[in-house]
Amino acid sequence: MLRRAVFYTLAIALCLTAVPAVASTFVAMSPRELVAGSDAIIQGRVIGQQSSWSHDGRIVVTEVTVKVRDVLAGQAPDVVKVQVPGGRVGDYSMVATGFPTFKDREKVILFVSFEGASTGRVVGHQLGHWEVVERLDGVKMAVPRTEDGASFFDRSGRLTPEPESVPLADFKRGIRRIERDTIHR
Amino acid sequence: MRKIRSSRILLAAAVVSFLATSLFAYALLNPRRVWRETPVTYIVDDRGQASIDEPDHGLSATINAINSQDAWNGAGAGDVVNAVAGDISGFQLGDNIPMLNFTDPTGQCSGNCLAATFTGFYSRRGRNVFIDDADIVTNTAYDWTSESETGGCSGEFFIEGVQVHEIGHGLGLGHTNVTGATMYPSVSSCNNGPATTEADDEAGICDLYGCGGGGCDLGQKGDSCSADNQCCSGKCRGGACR
Repeated sequence: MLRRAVFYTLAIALCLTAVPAVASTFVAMSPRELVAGSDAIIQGRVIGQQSSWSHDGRIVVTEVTVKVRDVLAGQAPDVVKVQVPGGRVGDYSMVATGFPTFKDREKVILFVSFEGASTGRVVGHQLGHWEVVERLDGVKMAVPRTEDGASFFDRSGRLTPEPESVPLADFKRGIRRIERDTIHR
Repeated sequence: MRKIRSSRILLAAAVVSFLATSLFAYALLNPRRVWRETPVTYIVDDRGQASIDEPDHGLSATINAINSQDAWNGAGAGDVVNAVAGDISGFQLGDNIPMLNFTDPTGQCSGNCLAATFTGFYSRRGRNVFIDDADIVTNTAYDWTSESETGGCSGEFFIEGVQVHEIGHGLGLGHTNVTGATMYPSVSSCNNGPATTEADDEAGICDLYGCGGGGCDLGQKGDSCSADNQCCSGKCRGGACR
């Protein structure tokens, strides 16, 4: 019975993973560009999401509130709010393909550009949005949230490899090394 | 016997998997969304794209590319889009007036974003959801060019190709993994290939709007309706298509 369940699960998974995903095209940003364009790189948890029409009433935006656990680079307050396009207000929904979307209570790493003391945007859009996931062996991983199939080309038109999951400790070391190198230059 | 049966299931799944990635590479927005009526009239920013060195700043080139039979209107589903020049000062999602803006008044398509499509719809139960509005914004931080601009191309992006791609999103398409298709999620600078749709793009449009009489762009089962002629099944019962 168990074996049959495994086979059915595998079969369904095969079908699901075969479906191409949806996304938009953005110009690639190197890790150095992401760090250089950020006021802070934060690790934290999504503690709230609120969608509304933008101040000028043109589009629907979502304000995502993140409780900061660690600041990997730059400086940030304990709670940071980032605004992303898209969301649902009443029975009206707006989809902004290729822009970051968040899950409730998601553990995240965000590259943030501040527009106010504690409010800002995600630098690089999906490229600046990572999720922290704990593997079965207990190793925490930084997982890119470009999972909906976004591919990126650089300014010369060269397709760059999709970001890959890395152990969180390595990710943090890499960020701090880039930041240190940038400062020293 | 059980092993043989299991193997067959896996084989069938693998075949479905292969077919899904090879024959049906195009993707639709999720959930599937279509316009209630076509052609969809897009108001194209009559200011043009300022960085294009032409008298109308690429306006005509963009409109011609969108309306071309080499793009979505030639996919086999009839004319699905009709781009016209106009004033986009009232640019606002939710007004049921699709607009293509050569700037970004929302400020969202910044940094590494070239152009973006914001699609609005009313949520309701059912498989098929009608698009209410789909507005396009363009990042003016990049250098743009068009086929009709003289002086060659160097590090610029073709406005025609990028906007035909965005119109594809506006019509309800997602991205494909077929290299060279308009809805492929990547384009290099000085490459206007996406201005011309490929077979994969056309298959996507046919899926959404029907080609050769095989499709139906009316309400699907579960969609709200008020009359039988609003449903593919021809049956509107209790305010919903059967």
